[in-house]
Amino acid sequence: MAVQHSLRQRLLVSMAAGFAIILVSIAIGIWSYARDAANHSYDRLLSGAAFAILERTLVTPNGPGVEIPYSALEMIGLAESDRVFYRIFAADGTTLTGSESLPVPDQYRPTDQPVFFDTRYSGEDVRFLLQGRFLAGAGYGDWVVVQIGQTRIARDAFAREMMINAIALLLFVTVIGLGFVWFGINRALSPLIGIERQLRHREPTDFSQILITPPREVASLTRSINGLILRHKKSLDNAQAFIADVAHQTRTSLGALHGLLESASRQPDAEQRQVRIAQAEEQAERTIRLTNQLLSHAMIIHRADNTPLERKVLIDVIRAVFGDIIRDYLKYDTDFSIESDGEPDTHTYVMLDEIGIREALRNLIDNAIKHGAAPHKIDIVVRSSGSHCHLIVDDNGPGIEGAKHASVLQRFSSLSTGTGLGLAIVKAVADRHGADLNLAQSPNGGLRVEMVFPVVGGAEE
Amino acid sequence: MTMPRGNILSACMRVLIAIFVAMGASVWGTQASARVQVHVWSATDTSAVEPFIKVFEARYPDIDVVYSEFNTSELYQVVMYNIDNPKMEADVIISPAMDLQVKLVNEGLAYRFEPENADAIPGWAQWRNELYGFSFEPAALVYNKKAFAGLKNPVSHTDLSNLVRDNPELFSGKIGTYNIRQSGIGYFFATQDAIQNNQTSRLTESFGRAGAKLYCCSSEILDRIATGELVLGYNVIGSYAIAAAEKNPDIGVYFLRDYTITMSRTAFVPKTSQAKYQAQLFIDFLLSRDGQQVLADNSSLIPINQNVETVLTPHLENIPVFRVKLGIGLLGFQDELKKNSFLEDWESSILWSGGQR
Repeated sequence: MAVQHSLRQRLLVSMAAGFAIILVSIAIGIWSYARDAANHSYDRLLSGAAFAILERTLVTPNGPGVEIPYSALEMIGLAESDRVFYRIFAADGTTLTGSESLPVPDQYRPTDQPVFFDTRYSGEDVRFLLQGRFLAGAGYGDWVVVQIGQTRIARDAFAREMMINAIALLLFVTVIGLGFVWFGINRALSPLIGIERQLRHREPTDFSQILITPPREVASLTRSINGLILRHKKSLDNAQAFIADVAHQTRTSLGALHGLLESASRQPDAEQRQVRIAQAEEQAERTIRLTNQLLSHAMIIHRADNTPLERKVLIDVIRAVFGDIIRDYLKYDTDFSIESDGEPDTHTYVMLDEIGIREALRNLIDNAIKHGAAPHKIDIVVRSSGSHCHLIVDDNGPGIEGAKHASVLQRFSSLSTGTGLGLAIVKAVADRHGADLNLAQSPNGGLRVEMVFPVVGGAEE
Repeated sequence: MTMPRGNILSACMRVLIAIFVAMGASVWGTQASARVQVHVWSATDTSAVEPFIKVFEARYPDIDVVYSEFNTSELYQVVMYNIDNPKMEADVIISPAMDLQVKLVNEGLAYRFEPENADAIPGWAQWRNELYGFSFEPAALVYNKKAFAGLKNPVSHTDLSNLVRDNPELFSGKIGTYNIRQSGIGYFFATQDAIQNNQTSRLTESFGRAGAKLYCCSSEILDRIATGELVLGYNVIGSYAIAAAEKNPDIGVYFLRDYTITMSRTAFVPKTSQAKYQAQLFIDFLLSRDGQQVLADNSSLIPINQNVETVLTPHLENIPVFRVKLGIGLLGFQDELKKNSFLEDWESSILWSGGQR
């Protein structure tokens, strides 16, 4: 048996995988958003400080000057744990005040728009702002630029906190979502569980239908199970009827034999006794035949369940089988003929059970000899017609009326003195091969039995 | 002479073992007897910290504290000058000038660590897990009690400038305060005054008119108050003032009622320290309840832990303390241009009429 799958597990795993993909992509999005938001917030502090400082730049008789307002640094200090670096320089690069070594991008040209950039400075990641102001007056006219740098500690903490909160919320939603999935799966699977429960708690003799209104997805499954139950019940019924029939037939047959023997032993007249014994012998023979046929029938049914069919040419099989059984009929005055209308070189293959075919043929010949009068004439014809292959057995016995064709195929439905099993066996063999069985009037005046086999694989070799 | 084989082998073994034992002993020996030196560079009167250092050394017998005293500005300059020098000997740097300490830490000089006892220190007195304040020191007015007899104590800074203006004969040449160009802590107090009070320049001018004298250190002012050479000392470190007043009954200590600037002496471990672990132990003990108690009981420093009873505790209800918060804001007056213009303004006020440097 293959590895068992759990629908529930499959659904849950695929849902969890889906959630994980969504979670990861959202997390990536949130991270970049959180970083932007953190930069945005803290950049405003830097901008505010830069404005406050630029406002206090002025032209003095000695050139540009600046008085850093106390509030500017206080403002940046709102990011409590961050270090701050600043420098105010003239357009020619002369530092007015602050740390001279602060990095400035090569392509920077003074502008009154703030320019932000991140870089490594003094052993930490630092966010820098550059903003200029054009100063004019008293013989001076040029740019003054303020540069402020702040380490990223507060920004990163802010972004991390946003990130953690968002992820926590997402995880919460995911868990809730998976909870719903679990609930949904269980609800969806509950009809299956209902079916399982109904079947498990069932008595062995209970063949009632599964009583459940299935959802569309499992309706056909339920129908199939119900069909199976029905077929199983029918076959069990058949088997029971068969066993009852067999018991009845055997008992009747043995009862008759016993009756004959008893009456023979009580018969004082030797001649009469001889007649009774002959009758008993006949009855014994019939009983043996009955038993053989019952076993043969049982064997056919059994083989149908256990032995695979083999791909063979029908006429070859017929010839071989006929060779086996012809010896049993040598004592009867019988004229046999076997003919095949197919080309000798083309082989038409049919899926066959050789033993089954033998039993069918034997029963047909038995019937013909038993019901007909000598001299017997039995013609066996194999005819192929495209997709089908016909096996026809004609005899010159009394034949069977058309109205009774259906009923004679039933078990124990002999029209006269037969066991009533012969044609039932033929029918079982036909069923086993998926072949149609037709009864008709034979051109010889007797019964024609025709089995129509489906051809497989076309011609070969 | 021949020796049995076994004897030769065992003799070799014995020598080898002896060598191993000797090596082991020397390794263990150095470990056992190694006394680690912790160099404390500090702008604090040696006498004020000595008792604490003794208790610390008693508690950690393996640690030797080597204490060097500096003026606040000198200390800043030495450390700044050695900013990239891995051979700088300092393991702990202590200064009352919070702005200079913040500037050093902002340069990335400090080693980051979390002392076990950091929680006991209020937030305004620590920064970045690098700089830790351990004392609570309001700026005090110090006066000579005899000379002040009969005068009404000023309530505010404005009262004080009026008092000086109204009593020129008493105060002339007898007011002492820091030379803020030389003293980092003096500059720190002066700038905090300027931030707190827009009338500060008036007070400075009245000091200038009264011919105030400028000193490098609290102790020099206190000594002169004691002798009566000075009548009034302005912005003297409160802990030193209270200690001096306890020794000398002529010295009075007073805290103005409008605001009293309060600083905390701060310590950090420089990144270049060769004995970071021991330096951390030093600072951790400084912040601990026990260490704070030692400061309260055995030294003139006033501990920052408010649960420790100090000489200041009875005054605290009346003093409107303005706690200066450690942080980037303190860099404002450390800007070179700003510092120069502040000093120029201040000097032009204080030296207005023949004041002395």
